[in-house]
Amino acid sequence: MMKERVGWVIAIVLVAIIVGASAFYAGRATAPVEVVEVPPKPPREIIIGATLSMSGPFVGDVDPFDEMMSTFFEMINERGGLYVKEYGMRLPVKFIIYDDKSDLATSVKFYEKLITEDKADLLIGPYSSKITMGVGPVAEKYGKPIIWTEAQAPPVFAQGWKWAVGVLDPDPKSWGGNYFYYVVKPLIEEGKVKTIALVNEDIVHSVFVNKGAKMMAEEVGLEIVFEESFPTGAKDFSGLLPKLKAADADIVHFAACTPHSGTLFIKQAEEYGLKPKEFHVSEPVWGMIEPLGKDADYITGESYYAPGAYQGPLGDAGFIEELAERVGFKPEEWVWFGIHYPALQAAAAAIEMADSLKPEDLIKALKTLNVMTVSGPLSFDPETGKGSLKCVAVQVFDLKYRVISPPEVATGPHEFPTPA
Amino acid sequence: MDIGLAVEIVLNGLLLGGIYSFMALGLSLIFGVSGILNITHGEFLMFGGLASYLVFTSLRINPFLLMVIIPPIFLAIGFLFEILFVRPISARPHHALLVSSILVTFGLALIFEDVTAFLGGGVPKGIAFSVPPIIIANIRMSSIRLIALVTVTALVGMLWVYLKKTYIGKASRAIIQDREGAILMGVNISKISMITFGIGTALAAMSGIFFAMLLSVYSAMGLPLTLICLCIIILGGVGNIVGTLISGIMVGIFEVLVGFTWGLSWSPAVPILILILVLMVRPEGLFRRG
Repeated sequence: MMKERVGWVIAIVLVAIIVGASAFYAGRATAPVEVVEVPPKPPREIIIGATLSMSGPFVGDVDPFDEMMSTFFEMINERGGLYVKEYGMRLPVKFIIYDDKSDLATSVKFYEKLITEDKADLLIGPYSSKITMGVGPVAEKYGKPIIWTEAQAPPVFAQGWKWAVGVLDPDPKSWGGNYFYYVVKPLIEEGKVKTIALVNEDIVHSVFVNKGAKMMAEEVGLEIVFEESFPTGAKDFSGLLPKLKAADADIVHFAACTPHSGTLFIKQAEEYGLKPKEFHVSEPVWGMIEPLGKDADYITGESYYAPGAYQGPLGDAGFIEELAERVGFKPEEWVWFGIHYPALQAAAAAIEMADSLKPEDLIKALKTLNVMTVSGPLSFDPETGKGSLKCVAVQVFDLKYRVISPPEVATGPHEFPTPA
Repeated sequence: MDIGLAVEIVLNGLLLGGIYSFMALGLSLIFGVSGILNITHGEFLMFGGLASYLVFTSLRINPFLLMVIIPPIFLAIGFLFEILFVRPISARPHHALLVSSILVTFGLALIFEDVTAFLGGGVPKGIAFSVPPIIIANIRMSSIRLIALVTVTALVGMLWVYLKKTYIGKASRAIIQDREGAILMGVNISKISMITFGIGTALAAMSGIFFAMLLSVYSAMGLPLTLICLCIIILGGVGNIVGTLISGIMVGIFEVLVGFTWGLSWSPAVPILILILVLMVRPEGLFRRG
C-alpha cells in the first residue's frame, strides 16, 4: 500500500515536471522575449525657484500665477522635461515657489532660501518693481541668474546687474506708447481731445508710468490740466474728485499698481458724477475691473498680452489652452500674464540653449537669447539686462479686453468718447 | 473758493463721515457695554461685505435687500462669538479683561484675515451696483453714501430708543455706567454681553454691505478699519452712540478738507491727529462716556 502511494507521488511529480518544462520551452519557442528598456534615471533635476504675491495687497494682480507657473513646468515634465546640453538629455524641472505676502523683506528671505537651501539653478523674479529692487542684491551676492518679471521702474535696471535680466523695457514711453502715439494722437488731430489730468499712486512703478504719460502727453500736444498723487492704501477720493471735476479734463489718466485703488477711484468718480471723455487706467487688471462690472466699459489701459497675436515655443494656442484649463483661469483676464509667461518661455529657452546649468552659462544664454513669446519677440540687452517687451493698448467691454493698438495686433476699434 | 465747491466738499465729508460712524457704531456699543476691545470688528465688517458679495453674485438681488438677509446671520454669529471667545475671559478684573480681550481678538483677527485670504478673499471684491448721483442746485451727492448716512442716523435713533426705553437697553447702560453696581442689582451680564455682541456684529456686517457697494472688500482690510473705528469711538466717548455719530462725521469732514487742501497723502493722518489734539484738551473724549 505504502509503495503504491509513493509510486503515485513520483508519477505526479514527473508529470508536473514534464508539463512545466514543455510549457516553458513551448513559450520560448513561440513568443519573443520582451526586452523592457528602463530609461536611465535622470542624473539630476533642474531647480527653478520664485516668490510671488500670493497674499497681501498685490494678490489681485497675480492671483493665479503660482498655479500657472507650477502647471507650466508640470506640463514640460509630462513632455519629457527640458534638454540640457551638459547631460545630453532631457531633465525634469522641479519648481519651488513661496508666498512673499507682497512684502519686500519676506521676498528677500525666500530668495536667500531658494539659493542657499533649495539650490535653485535659475530664479524667476517677484511681482512689482518695489520688491524686485530689494531682491536684486540677493541674486548678485550669490551669483545666481534671475529673470525679472513685472519690474519696469528705471531704478530696477540702473545698477547694471550682472546676474539679472528683465523682460520689460524701462523706457517710460514703452508703457503707454501705443496708447499715446496710435490712439490719442489721431484724436488730437481730429480736435476731439485737448486736455489730460494725471493721477497716480505714490509707488515706484506708478510714478514711472505717470512720468512716461506726462512726457508723451506733452509730446503729442495734450495740455496737462491737473496732476496729483495719492498714497498706497487710499480708500476715499472725496478730497480729490472736486479738484478733478473743476479741471474738466478730456482724459483722466490714472496710474496705480494696487488694483483696488483703480476700482475705488472709478466707482467713486461714477458716484460723484465725474464723466471725462475717457478714463485711462494704466493697469486695468481683472481684480480691478471685475468689481466694477458695467462701470468698467470703455475704460482704456495697457496690457502686454494680445491673445493669439504672438506664440513662440511653449506659447502655441494648444499649450496655453491646456494650461488655462488645468489652472482654471483665463489668461486674457490677467494683464500681467503677458509678462510672467514670457519670463517662463525665456527660462525654458535659455536652459535648452546654455552649455550647462552652471550660473555663468545660464546668464550667458539669457543675455544672448532672442525668442518669440506670447507677448512678442524677447531679447535682453547684454549690458543692462533690459528686456524688449512693450505694452499694447486695450479697452474694456463686458469685462473683456479688446486690443486697440498697435494696429497689427488690434482685435477691434477704439470706441470714443465714453457715452454720458 | 466757489461757494458751491465749498458746500460740495463739506457734503462729501459728511457722507464719508456717515460711513465712518456706521463702521464704528457696533464697536462703540460692545466696548461700552462689555469692556471688551473687539479687534475683530473690522473683520466682521469684511465678512459682512464678502457675504453680501457672495449672496449678490449668486442671487442677483437688489443689494439693499441684503440689509434684511445679512444682519440676522451676523447677529447669530455675534452671539456665538461671545459664547466661544469672550465669555471665558469676561470674569477677569477690568484692566486684565481689556488686555486679554485685545490679545484674544487680535489673534482671532489675524486668523480670520489669513484664512479669508487662503480661501480667495485676498482679491478685492465689490458689488457692481451704482445709483445716479443726486444733484441739487448743481451740487452732486453720492446716492449710496447718502443712504448710508440716513441709515446710520436712523440706527443711532433706534439704538438710542433701545438703550433708553427697553429693559435690556437700560441694563446695558447700567453696565456702561457702573459694571459692579449693575451686577449687584441682579443684571445678567453674560446675557447682556451676548446680545450686545450680536447687535455690534450685525452693525459691522451692515456697514460691510455699504463697503461692498461703495468701495471694495478684501481680507487685509479689517485691522486698518478697526484702528479708524477706535479713534472715532474714543473721540465720541466710549459707548456714546450719538458721540460716535458726531465724531465719525467730524473725522470725515476734516479728512476731505485736508485731502482737498493738501492732497490725499495727508488724509490718513487725520483721525489720529484729531484724536491726539482732542485728548490733549479733553482726555475723556469730545463727549461723555455713554
